[in-house]
Amino acid sequence: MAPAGRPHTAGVIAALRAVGLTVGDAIAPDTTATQKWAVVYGGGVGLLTGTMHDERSDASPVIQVTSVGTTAEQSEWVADTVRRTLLARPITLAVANRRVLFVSVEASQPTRRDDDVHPPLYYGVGLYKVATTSTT
Amino acid sequence: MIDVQGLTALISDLAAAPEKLRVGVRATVEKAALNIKDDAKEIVTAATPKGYARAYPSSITYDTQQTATGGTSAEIGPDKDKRQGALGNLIEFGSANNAPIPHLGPALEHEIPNLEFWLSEVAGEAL
Repeated sequence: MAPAGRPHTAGVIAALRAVGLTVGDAIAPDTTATQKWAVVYGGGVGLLTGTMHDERSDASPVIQVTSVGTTAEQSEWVADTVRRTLLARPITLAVANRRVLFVSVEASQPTRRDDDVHPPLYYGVGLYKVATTSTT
Repeated sequence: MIDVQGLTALISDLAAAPEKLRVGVRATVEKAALNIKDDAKEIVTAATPKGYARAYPSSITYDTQQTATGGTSAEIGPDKDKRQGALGNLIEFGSANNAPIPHLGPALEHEIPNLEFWLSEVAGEAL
């Protein structure tokens, strides 16, 4: 059976919440009690590869984490915390019914100011590739 | 005494291989760039049905160049001089409150297996 994307997204969200971050799932979370947060955008499974036994056993979805703050410093603090958490060695990220092979930074965007919202917010983007394989 | 035949033809084939490879790689990379551009346009058009970025897909272009070492490089993405071309970053990665619409990254990823396949074919034919 081809792997699903959602367990990967759920794993990333759970890992970030476990270190105390306020995290939204494809939408900004309730931010009344915080000035910094992350939004996780998942979807898809990336290129499927595998073995002769199961050529679609390995997935490598790219998951975007947007790190937001009311100041540039807060946005960067969130981005640093996200990076530290997802790239931790040994790997701490858990994906249901999958073994995480590695997590890597696929791309990143520097901190920017979003003037379309008032007051302005600062945000940076990290794209993480989460490579997993079947545990069965 | 050992009699070797066909050596001249082999030498000739080997001598022609680098040029065959250059031409084949260039054509393959150009085709891949075109596929990525078309796929990115298709993805972003499908993801913005309300048409708020109607002109943006047409700003996505590609350009190929020959490198100093005889290779070929391709650059695919929105042309900022075209209408809505400057929205590329905002659309691909989103903003503080706007969700991203990844289209260039996924289009590249879709094309990788094709590119790998055709490059190996070109290499095989050149030799």
